[in-house]
Amino acid sequence: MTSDIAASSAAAATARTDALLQVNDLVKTFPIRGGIIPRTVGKVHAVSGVSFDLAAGQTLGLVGESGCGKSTTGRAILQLHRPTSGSVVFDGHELTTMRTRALRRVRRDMQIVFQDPYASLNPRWPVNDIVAEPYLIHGIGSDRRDVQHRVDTLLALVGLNPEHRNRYPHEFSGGQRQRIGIARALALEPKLIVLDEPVSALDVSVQAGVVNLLEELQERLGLAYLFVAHDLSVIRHICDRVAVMYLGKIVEIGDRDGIYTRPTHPYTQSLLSAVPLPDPKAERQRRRIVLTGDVPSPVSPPSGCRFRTRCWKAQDICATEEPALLAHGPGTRSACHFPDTS
Amino acid sequence: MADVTKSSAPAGAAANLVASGYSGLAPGEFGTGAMTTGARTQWQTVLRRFRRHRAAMISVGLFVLLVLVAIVLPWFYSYDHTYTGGDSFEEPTAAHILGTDQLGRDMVALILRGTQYSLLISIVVGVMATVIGVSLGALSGYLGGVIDTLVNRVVDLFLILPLVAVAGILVHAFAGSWYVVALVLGLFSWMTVARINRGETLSLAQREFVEAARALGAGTPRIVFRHILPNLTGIITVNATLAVATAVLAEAALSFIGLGVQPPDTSLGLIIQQNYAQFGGARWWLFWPPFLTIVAISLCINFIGDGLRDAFDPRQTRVRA
Amino acid sequence: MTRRELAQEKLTQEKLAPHELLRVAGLSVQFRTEDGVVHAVRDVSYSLGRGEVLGVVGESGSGKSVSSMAILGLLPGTARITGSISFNGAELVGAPDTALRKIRGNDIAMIFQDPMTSLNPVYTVGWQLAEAYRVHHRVSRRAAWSQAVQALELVGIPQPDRRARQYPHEFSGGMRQRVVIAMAVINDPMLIIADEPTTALDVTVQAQILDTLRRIRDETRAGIMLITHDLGVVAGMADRVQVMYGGTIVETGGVDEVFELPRMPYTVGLMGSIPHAGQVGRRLTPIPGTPPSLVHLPQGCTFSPRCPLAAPQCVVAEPALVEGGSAGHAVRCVRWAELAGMSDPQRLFLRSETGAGTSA
Repeated sequence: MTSDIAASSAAAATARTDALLQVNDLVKTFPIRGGIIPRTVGKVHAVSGVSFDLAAGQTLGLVGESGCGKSTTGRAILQLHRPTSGSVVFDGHELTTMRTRALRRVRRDMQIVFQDPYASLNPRWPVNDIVAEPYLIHGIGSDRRDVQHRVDTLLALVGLNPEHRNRYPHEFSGGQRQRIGIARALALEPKLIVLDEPVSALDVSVQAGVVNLLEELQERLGLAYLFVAHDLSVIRHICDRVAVMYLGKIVEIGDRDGIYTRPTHPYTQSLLSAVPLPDPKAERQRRRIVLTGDVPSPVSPPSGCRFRTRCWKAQDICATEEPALLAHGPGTRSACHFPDTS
Repeated sequence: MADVTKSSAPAGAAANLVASGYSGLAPGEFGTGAMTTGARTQWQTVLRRFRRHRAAMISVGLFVLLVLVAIVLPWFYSYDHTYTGGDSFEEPTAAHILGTDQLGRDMVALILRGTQYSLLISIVVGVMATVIGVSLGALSGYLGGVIDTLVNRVVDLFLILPLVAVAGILVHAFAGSWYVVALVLGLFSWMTVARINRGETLSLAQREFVEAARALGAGTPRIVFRHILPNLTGIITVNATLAVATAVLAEAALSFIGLGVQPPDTSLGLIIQQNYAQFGGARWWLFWPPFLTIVAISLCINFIGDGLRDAFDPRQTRVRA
Repeated sequence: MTRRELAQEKLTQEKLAPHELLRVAGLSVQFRTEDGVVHAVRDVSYSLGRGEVLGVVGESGSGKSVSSMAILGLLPGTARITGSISFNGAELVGAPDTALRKIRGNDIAMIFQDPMTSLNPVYTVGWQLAEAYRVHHRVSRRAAWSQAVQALELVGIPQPDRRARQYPHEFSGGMRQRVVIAMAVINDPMLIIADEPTTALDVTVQAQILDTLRRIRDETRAGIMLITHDLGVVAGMADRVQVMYGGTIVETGGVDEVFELPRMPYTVGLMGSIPHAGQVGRRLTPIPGTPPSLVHLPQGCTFSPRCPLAAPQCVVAEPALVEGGSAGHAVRCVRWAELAGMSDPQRLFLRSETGAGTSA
């Protein structure tokens, strides 16, 4: 280990001790079964060594395009997919080695809101039951009226009319359904909520309402968010820190301003340059970085730096040596042999 | 249809809206507009669609009539199925509306009795097929792994076993009462139901609301019984109906080859078996009435099943806007 | 003859043709459903010329997709279409299917959203492209194949002769969409309708696809109708923009004008609800409420239930499309002049932030 790496990880280590969530070298691979006799013929390397911290009350954005592993990371942290290796320390508990029963207790403190407002609610349950379910599973609430009262409070908290509690999901709009999902996630008063593309499936004018709600709730309740998304504009708006993922690895991580104004990794730069702005004059003057080639398959990721097949700076060393996540600029760390430090 | 001018609301109404604080921002007020039309449970929607299916509605009416007649009429009818007082092969007259058979039994009484048994057997088979099929299917679909493999092999085994041979053995061993026939048929009709439910469960288990329940800490029983099963009611209902329809004909077939219901019990299949020589013969009243009754029952149940299937899953083209 | 030469020839022939390609007048589409009559499109009129990119913006339920499918007669039989769609002088509404088939894929081409399902998985890409060509041109298989390869080259697929022999599943999502674009342009259409062509794609791939479309527009001078909900895409590609809401056009004009000086409250709200660099640190300003049901449309202006500027006159009757400040900029709002006078129209929507109690 060079002294740089030692120094940065030492600094990182001291900062980590009081973080709410500490993820260390998280790996998740999915086996591909094939052949006449069922055996594993290959592996999908969805997440290949992801590490980050999240402090209470903060928002960390996980950005990347499809196939980068961000959704899998979120689910692996919550143990919805059991990680292949690595450590997830939440509120002082190591989750990867916990058994199901102990995990049930911890699940009260970490929840998830899904992307699809149509599929994340059971279509046969009235809204009241959907939001009350967490209480029933964990035996909270003294009696039916108490649970009812809690449900009504939650519905009002997310901006819905409690009188609609006996209606079914299909009678609500997409934005309202997403609010129901948020109410359900809040029931157990969690400390951490993983938001898996919570607004991508909503109309633009509705997205803003849900984003505002999330911000308000964070302020009021001191929630920590892991915000997984591909929409860079929304991420910029709501996140304190951002991690950019590519093919299962974090290529750049840092505070929001650093990432958006002074990115050092070529992928981050091309991602930012590809986002269309709602400003015709600015769009016309833009010089876009257009990447060549396709995203490689996560079944056989490139050796060394995974981004090298599409990178305009790629050299021999990029194929032989995998770059480490180092601080190349103020506020961000990136994994590149030729970062842009201008 | 050029200009869209809505019928002008009376000026007072608009003023009232503004007076009541309507500036376009009253949240709850637009809430009702945002909801899709009407608060309807799934059953209400299904019933409404079912009512539009003409063949199904007619079939429901006919079937209910048939069942009522089969159950109620014997109480009032002059003869019962054990009566053998008539002359052999009497033609239809006022005394015996559908004539008598070789033993002098009144055909109407026989058919009524036979219908009762046929329906009884078919419904029992339908229930058995549904209960066994849904339990095995849902469990294997959700749990996967070893259990899934095991159940699949059992399904394969039952598919291989020849129904007729097994029926023959069991009927001989247990004297062919109606419940033996029901049992045999039930044991051989759950496999399709199991496969269908397994497939549907597999796809439901991938849905995000199941994942959400797991994230909340729900255990397997809760997920299977409270989340997955309610979403299976559509196909369960349709398949149960079709299972009954199949059972009616299967029982008739078994009885026809002598491996079904044995005397003294009776069923429509048995009546046909006793009189099939009359097909095309002079004594039409011995064959055609029971035969047509079976056809009617089977068609009715099939149409009802069709109607249910369309009602649960209408193939409407959704308009993308 | 190469594609380029063919295109040039077609261009010279059409120099005499009118600049205007498509003129839609008073188009309305209704569907009968079990919930009632859906007024999907109501009295929509616009035009599109050669080499012009028209951006059609709207959310779900705005009628943007249905109005474009009506042009090619791709709506289900239950649709009732009234009004006029005139393409190159010919009337398309009510035209027999034989006439429409000559136009589809030949003079007017359509690009759909989902590249996965737009291509047939059992035929090679080259075969499908060649087929698309042979439907409208009587040529040998070999000539059609060479056209196919040239089309692949035009859309920027490397090694086109090798790739033409591959199947759709061997292409990535972005490449597949390019193939779909190639299929659309292989017959040198005069009009290309692209319905959310990049919505299902990643942002870096989207940039590539939009680049390709721009190149095609430059080389073939086709008119492009770009339907999307993404204002950024419209800002980068379109010459003119048309905002749709509740089944009809609520604002239309040059792209610079509409973006800088929106005159319809809905447009203002739409732009304010998008997070961008200037919004960091401030609350977003969403539009309260939800888009209207197309079965039970609100009285008067369809946007009035959610509009911060709603006045009694807005509920009485739906406003007509009037010129809003400059030629070519039309708006369907009776209070557009007030909106024009405001320095920061987005503040209107700030008032509506109530936190709890919104029903969006």
